[in-house]
Amino acid sequence: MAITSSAVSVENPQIDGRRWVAEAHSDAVGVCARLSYLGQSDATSTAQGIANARAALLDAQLADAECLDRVQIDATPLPLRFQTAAQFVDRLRSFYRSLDREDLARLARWVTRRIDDGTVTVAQLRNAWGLTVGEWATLEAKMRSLRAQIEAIDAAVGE
Amino acid sequence: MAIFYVRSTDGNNVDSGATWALAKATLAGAFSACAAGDTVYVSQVHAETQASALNLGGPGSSANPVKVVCVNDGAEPPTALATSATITTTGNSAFDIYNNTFYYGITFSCGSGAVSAQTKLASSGGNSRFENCKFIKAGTVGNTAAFRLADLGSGRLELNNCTFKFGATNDSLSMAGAVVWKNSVAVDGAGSLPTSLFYNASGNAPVILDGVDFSAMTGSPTLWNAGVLTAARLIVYRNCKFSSGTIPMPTPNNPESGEHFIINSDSGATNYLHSVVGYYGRQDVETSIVRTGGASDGTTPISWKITTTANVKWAFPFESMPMAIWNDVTGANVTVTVYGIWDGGAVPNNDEIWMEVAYMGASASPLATFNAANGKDVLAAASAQGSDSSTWGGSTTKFKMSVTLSSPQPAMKGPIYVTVKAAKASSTFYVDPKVVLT
Repeated sequence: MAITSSAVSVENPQIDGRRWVAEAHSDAVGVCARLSYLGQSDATSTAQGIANARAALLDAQLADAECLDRVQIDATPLPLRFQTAAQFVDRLRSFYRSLDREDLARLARWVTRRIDDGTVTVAQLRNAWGLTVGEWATLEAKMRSLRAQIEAIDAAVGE
Repeated sequence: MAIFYVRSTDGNNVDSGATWALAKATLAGAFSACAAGDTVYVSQVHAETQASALNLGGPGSSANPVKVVCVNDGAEPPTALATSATITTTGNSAFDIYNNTFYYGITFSCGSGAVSAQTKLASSGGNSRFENCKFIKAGTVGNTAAFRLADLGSGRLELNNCTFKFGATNDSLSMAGAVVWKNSVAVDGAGSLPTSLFYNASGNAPVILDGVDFSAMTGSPTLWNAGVLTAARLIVYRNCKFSSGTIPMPTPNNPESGEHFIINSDSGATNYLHSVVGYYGRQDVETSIVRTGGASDGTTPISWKITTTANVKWAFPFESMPMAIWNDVTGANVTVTVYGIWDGGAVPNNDEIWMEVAYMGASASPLATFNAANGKDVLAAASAQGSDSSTWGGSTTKFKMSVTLSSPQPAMKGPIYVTVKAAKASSTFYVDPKVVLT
């Protein structure tokens, strides 16, 4: 799940003494993030530390990105590369709270379709949202209403 | 086109807004009275606060935008601009500012306390333009879309001399539509410094960053979130300033992400750097491994260092920026040559690196004629590029790529463009961007 190695390549010095530094961060699957920058003349000694410090940040960014990416596709998000299913659901909740208008309706459609296709249970979502049975029922009803509205918009055609 | 006045200190939304003495109390109050094409003058002492979500969608149209301008209220009509008006929401109260409006000199502050309240700029409607404005996300709970710039249904958002201030390190700017941000200090260092400034939304419109100072972002920051360049999008930095070790653009993880350009932008006193970053690789300026007699701005010799990722294929190569050279020859063959060097052990084959030349092969129009004969075609076997004996400052195996423009011959004088394509996975090539015509 997490980045397990951060390889650094420090290139030859440039005319101003700086050096191009290339970072390649890998998890259990392979390289998952590549970054390059012009480091200072002492980059040979500092670059690995910078890369190691960046790895934890990249873990969170890649997990965020994976969540954002998966909800664009109307299918189960599994298997996940950068997070557990529980972490994914937590991020889903965070995204849901930050959205509004059409974006919120589209995510509501995605969530309710995953309930309907059995990818996730109501209990799992209710726990992630930290809601009671009654509170969840209210939220799910709102989600399904939003879903119906966005589906109507998506199905709309001209004359 | 009518004029309306807004001043929180003595204004009242039941007044007409026709004079300073009859000023409206809030901008929303003025919007409710004005029409497309009108101008709203906001006093320099205006300090409006609302404890609920604030939607500022003026009545402007693309043909007749509304202008909202902070001015000194010492004259009527005003004669001096100002930049001290503030519009604030408190608590978990969002901002939504949209619809064919020009804003000048206003600070928008969103939320207060432990909230993640969001500001949307140009969320719908047509174009929006902000000049000398400041945007504050005061809530202390992080939001990757703390500011959502230009939504999919909106027109272009232009920010001129505008600065953002953040309330949490995991705040970001999220973008979906077209954004031009120029002539600005990006981030107010007095606030929290985001670990990544930009967080791509699902849109695919271009983002142009022109003359923006990002140097408040320190600590070898990654300006774009490393994992979220998932949508096709063009991102261009031009004449921007970074802090030392800044990563303006991580290598995208998605082939649909497109290529992104970093032009003449740096932390140091350089004027020659330019890079392309994409899923298939990147191109950077190299000032050490350069060809003697090759490209130079007169002071600094350069070559292009092309580094491919493991993702390149012959069908989907990395493509460099175009090299341009003026051609004065028409009605005769012209041979185009680009020199290179790499450490692959032998001269590279023409399915590993090659060039495509675009020139004007017709006399009736400037329609480009493309010549990719330097590379192999889809059915042919690969063959070696030419060997070369130029002097370079490093690496090992020299080569050259040549093609003769003969059928058709150049028919008009003008620029010839050469694009180098590299498809050898995980490899580094250096090419001299000084194209030679013979």
